[in-house]
Amino acid sequence: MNQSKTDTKEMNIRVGLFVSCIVDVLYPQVGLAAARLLADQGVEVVFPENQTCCGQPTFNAGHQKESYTLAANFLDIFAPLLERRDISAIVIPSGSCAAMIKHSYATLIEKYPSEKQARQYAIVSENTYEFSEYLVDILGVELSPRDSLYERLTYHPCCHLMRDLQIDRQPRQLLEAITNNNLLPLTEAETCCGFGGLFSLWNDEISVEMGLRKAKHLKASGADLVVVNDVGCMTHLNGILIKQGHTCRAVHIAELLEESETK
Amino acid sequence: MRSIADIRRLSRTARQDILNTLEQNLSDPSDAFKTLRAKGTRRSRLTPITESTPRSPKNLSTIFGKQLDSISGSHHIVRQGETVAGAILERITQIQENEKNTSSTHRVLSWNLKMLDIAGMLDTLHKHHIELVVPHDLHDGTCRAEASSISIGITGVEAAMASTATVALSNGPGMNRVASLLPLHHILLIPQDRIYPNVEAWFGELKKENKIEQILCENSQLSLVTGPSKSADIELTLTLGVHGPRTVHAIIYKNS
Amino acid sequence: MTINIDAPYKSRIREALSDSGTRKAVDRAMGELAQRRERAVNAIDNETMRTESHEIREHAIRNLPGLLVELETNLTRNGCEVHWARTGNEANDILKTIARTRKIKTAIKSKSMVTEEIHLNTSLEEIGVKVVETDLGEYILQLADEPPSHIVAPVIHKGAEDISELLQNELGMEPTLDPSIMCDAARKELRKHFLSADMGISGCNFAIAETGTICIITNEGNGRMVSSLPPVYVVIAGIEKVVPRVEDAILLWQAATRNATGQDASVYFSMTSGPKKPNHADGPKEVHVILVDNARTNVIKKGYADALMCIRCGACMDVCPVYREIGGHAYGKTAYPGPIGSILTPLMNENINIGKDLPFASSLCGACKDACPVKIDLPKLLLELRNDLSKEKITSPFQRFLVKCFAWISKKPSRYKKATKIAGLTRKFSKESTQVFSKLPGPLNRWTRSRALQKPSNKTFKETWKDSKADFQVLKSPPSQK
Repeated sequence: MNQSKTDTKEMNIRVGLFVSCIVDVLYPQVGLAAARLLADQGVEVVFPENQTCCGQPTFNAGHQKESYTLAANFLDIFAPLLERRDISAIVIPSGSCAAMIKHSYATLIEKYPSEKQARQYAIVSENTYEFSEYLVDILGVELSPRDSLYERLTYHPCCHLMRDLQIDRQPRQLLEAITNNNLLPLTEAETCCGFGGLFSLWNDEISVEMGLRKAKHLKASGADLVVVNDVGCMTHLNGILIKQGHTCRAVHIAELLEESETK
Repeated sequence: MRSIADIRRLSRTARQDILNTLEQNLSDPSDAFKTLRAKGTRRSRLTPITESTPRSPKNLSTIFGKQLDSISGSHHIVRQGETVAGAILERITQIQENEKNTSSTHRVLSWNLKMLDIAGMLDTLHKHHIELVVPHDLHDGTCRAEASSISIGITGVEAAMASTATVALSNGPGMNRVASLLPLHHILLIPQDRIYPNVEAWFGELKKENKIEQILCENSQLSLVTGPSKSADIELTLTLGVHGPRTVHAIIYKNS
Repeated sequence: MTINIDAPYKSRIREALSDSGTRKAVDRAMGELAQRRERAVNAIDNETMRTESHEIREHAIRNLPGLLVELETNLTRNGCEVHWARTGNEANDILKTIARTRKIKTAIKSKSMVTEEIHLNTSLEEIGVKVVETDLGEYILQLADEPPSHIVAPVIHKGAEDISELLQNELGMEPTLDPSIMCDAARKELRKHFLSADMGISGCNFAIAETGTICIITNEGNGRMVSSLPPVYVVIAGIEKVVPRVEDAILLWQAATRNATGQDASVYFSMTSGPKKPNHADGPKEVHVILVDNARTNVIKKGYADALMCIRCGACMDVCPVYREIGGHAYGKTAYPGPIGSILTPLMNENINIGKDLPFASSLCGACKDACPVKIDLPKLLLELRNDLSKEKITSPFQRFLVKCFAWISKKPSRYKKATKIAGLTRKFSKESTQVFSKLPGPLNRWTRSRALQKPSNKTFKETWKDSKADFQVLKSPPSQK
């Protein structure tokens, strides 16, 4: 990867990595890829080991009280690091977790008010970044287009990333570069894949139909790989693609970028 | 079985109940809304949705006509040397030909002539055996039966708005509703100087001149009509003339 | 053919998903409506229109009591009689009394969702009044004895063949699939009713407080007919329909139309302020306006006043990926399907079983929020409802238990680590050598019956991190306090 605009070695940037529970259990390689890519930019990666879940699944399930406890834990782990300037940012390879922390935590803080947490939330929400956002907007990473690294790649923008965080340009920029500006178009790319967290279990009938529709468009796009920013969507899409016998696979952007480095 | 007096009494109780409950629950600005905490702002001037640039009557006529055509209507701008009466006759003749000259096209349901104010219209039509019918009371059975058997209607307008090809039809003395509603074919007479850039412009002027209540309330109904009647209920396929007019033809002329 | 809307939630969903004919019709229609909407809102400054529409509606709801009184004063001054009804029953009682005392035999109706809420047709028919729906879609539904499935395009779940069959049977129409011939048949039939009915009933899109004016949006002209031809005209208006000024109604009219059908303006926007004057040739001799609460004050009481800002444009359901798969009837016995319906239905129905599953029938993708012309944060309201339903223990105890377990495990890092280790062990119990499970027991089979599931990794990220011999510049734990 090209050296970023900001000379990070001199500035000694340190970030906190939050991987999310699904990455921890199912896809540790995604977390590692994210950490390596950041380290390549000369960024020191701190991994607070006591992290667990950001509270999104319980929040979406309608258990805001339980979410509040998990949110409080998260804030207790990461806010002090920011306040002491041990880290300058929290980086998360998951759009939905980042959205939860940046936006939905406000709902929890309002319901269960505490001065300390309001303060913690203020500093955390301002300094939390989704992974591709951090690479492009903060580190200023610019990839030069390479020749035919990936010919049949397409991109599915995950809903929370695109709508809640308004992040779309950044991942696309990175992907256009590694496909030499030949990122394949995807019909109805912005339509939800159907994961929706626990929706994928409690309303699996509908969730699967939405996934099948997405799989149909993926097949029509001719892509071998579809890049996503959320491992939840990735698990759901791959689950359907495999069961349907399609050859296309979903891959996390961090994994793909890391792989592209070694090609 | 309730009487009118009963329901009026109940209505008064309901009114009190509803208003009290609303007042109680809306008193705290942060309480009633899950997503909106502080009291919102409200601006006094709203931004017009469509093009509001003032233009010459000639320009506005062209814009209006083009827009009306694009929504399945049709128009004719009366040129130098032509008469409005002539344009009206031409349109009626056209309809008669299309409808194969049935009796329903030899009479025209109309506003009171004074409200249309077109020189020589009555004479021209009479010369061609076309009768103008101005209904006096649509709640009278004979009048209603007659009105419903006529397939051409002709009206003026209170105002027209170019950007959306909308016309404002007031109903009032001499301006009946049915002429623009019952017949299959509607002819609109629009003086150029009554065309505004958009709907907001006309209402804005009415407000400024304190004429809003007169237009809305004294005349009991104001209809904003944009092109011929449409439906897309069957598989989203567009069909015209369900239940209002199937054709709307605007004759735009310079008011002398 | 439509699904049984009284059946329990899951069987409605399954029925809806297996009805491929309806699914095709709904899919095609929503795609088309969404496209038309896109064109219409992108042709103008949509963001400004949304912001101003939101302001108007928020202001209206916040000032509801004062505005309703102003509306009533002006309507009365204009010669209308204004009635108030707390419930659907009260509204129907008022209407029945008017109908009885005026000896009404036939009533013609233009489309109105509030009249669906209160089952107005059934109530009038009880006293022998014939009620004829005049909106083409609603008329077809009346013939089929089916409820509407979409608030703007009510019969969109039916194909041309079904509609043609209905019209052939009811009106003796010739066999045809040509929509214009079908419309013609309906026009002829309904024209008879327009001209002979003694009462016209409509809903209300906007009620302008400053002038006392009822506005209705139609494209067919039935709204004009209903409010002009019969001697008695009755408006049923939800109390949330009031707006302060004329210009507010003009803005919202365009916002609603562009979002609902993709038109720059609806063909008709009828603004009625009162009965005909003695020197008018036509118009109703009497105008009644029934202001209906029917649980709207409840919605405010529960703190969901945001949902009352809705202007019933249907944009949310046009862009909803869930509605697109299941269609409107799957939302059950409610006048409102789709995202806004998933919020209003549980809030407005005393019988909580009618709506309790709906807030969960969403992947929270947010497409509805982006589309809503009055900027209602629909996903947030859905989440709040989910929270309320869990707190009130209306959701499934088993699901609540599972969620609480997860929360309990995740609360303590040590517990969490143990749990993730156990999850990792499941690899050993799977006989396959692949990376995925194809079948899992219990609730997890909801996943595996139609999807493969990624197996847990050999080592969790935390374990990997600890053992990693990677040579990149990282700190393995946070630096100590300075």
